[in-house]
Amino acid sequence: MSLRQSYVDALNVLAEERNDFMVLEADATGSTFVRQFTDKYPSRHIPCGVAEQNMIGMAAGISTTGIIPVANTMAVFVSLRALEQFRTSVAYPKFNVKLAVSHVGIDPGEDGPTQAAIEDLGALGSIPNVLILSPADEIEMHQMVRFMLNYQGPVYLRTGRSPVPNVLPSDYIYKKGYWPTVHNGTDVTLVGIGIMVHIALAAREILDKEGISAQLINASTFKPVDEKSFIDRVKNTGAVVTAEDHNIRGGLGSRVSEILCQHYPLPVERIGLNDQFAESGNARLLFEKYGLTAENIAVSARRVIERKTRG
Amino acid sequence: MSEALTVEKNKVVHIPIPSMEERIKNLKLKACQVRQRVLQLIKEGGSGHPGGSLSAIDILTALYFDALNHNPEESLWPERDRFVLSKGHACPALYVVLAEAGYFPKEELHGFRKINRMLQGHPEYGTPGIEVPTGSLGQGFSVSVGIALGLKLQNKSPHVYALLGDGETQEGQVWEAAMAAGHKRLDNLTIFIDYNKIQQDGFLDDTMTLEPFYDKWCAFNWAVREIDGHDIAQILEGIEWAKSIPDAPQVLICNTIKGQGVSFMENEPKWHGTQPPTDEEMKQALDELKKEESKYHD
Repeated sequence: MSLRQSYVDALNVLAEERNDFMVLEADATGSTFVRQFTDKYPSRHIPCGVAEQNMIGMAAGISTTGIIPVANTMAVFVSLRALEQFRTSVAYPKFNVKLAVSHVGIDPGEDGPTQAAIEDLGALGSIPNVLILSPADEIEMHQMVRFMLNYQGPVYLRTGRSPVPNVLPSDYIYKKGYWPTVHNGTDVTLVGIGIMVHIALAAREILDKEGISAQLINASTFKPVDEKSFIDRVKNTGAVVTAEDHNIRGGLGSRVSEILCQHYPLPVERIGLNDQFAESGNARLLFEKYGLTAENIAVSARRVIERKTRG
Repeated sequence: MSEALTVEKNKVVHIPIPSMEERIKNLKLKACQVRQRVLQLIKEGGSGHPGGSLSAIDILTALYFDALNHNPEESLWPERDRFVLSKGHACPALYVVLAEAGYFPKEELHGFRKINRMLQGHPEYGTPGIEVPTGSLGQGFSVSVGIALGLKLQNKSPHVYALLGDGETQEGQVWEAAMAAGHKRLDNLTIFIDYNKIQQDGFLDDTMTLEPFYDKWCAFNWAVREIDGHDIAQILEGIEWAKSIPDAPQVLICNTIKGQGVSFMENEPKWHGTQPPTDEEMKQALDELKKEESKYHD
């Protein structure tokens, strides 16, 4: 199931439980799948038209009147176009605004680079007071949407377009900032975010067949991060590979390098877009062309292990 | 002066109701005093925006000392009317008005733009009386549209006011917000535009004209009225008119003079900001304003 599908499913479940939130949309209900909510709850829908900057400003204002606004659209149009509105009108005053976005990374495929947000984590990640969530599967999405509505303050939640399998146990409970271990391992740590978690899990299986034991960690809270618990689990493996459908500059690769450089230096290899725009095409083929594959993660894992043994 | 009877603590008391002439005279006096305090604040703070503060003072004075339903002792009183200073750089005027109204001690005015003090260079949420952070032009207007919509969706009665700069309306976001408010028929939203015809880099008509300004707002489904933004009676009448309009947001295009009240600042782009007046300039400015003030003392 795609993350945008599990997102709207979670929203629909919560709509039956509480009436304190309303959904704002910038004319992309078909792209975000939020139409499945707005069709069902038209009175809880505020259409904002193709006007993302004003949507974020209105969400800020609405939040001050006691309604929780959940604003939705495609990631690139708010994470960049309305970034300053989110920074100054939402993050600075810590208003209780939720922003949920689809079309992250090159996963939008055929839509091409203008619609593909390959830098949203870098942009949002440098703004104080924002909780950034990027779930790996349907189980985590349901947990996170619930958490998001209970949390007081600005939240940025990423969904996704392509289907992802469940990688977390059904009894998984989301804990703010904690990066859950998806699989234990001893030789190397793979750290994935969003859609790349299940691809890293496939890389783990490739490595396992070669006798390499890889730990897999799901970096589902991009910000803030419980750094200590991450370092405690990573240090024994001695080497790290990050995997993200995002520019490796400013994204997960940068964040993990920053944490390790400061607290526990280890060799790191980064899988993601190497500071380049991609192109239109089938998402699976794009992932292959730009190296966002299990095979490529496995290659990086072998390389980083070698760097570790070279000392 | 007429009187009204009211019951206070089980005792009938006589509350004097000032006549319209008295209200206007009191507000003009207040505006004169606020102008002096604003220049002192900017001088003491070392920088600020005198021109656009002076042009907005009559509007702010009419709101805070007459029209607004508010409670300075309880700044987040749920029933309060909301005011958003979307042209955040005019905050010296708002800070003085808020302090005079009792939102925070006047002593705080000495800390404007200073480290470890409350009053930021542009309005910060959390300062008593400040609903929204502003200073990045266009944003405050969108937020006020959201406040009006949120209140309306919940059938809550407070009215929302915002004050925009004229140069501010060159921002695209302003027209996104205007379109949204017109479409959603937000009749609980009234905005003032401080149309002083000067922006940071110079005269508006040399930079990017707004004309036909009145027609633009009509085209966005707003009720529009043009007034003299320094005429207290017209401002009060304008607010009454705005509150009487059903099914549409209202805009009062306020023709103003940048630097109003200080001869050498009037219509002079260099007083947009942020250099404070020299000691000699301060003396001249205060002398002029005191002379004006003396007209309104009995």
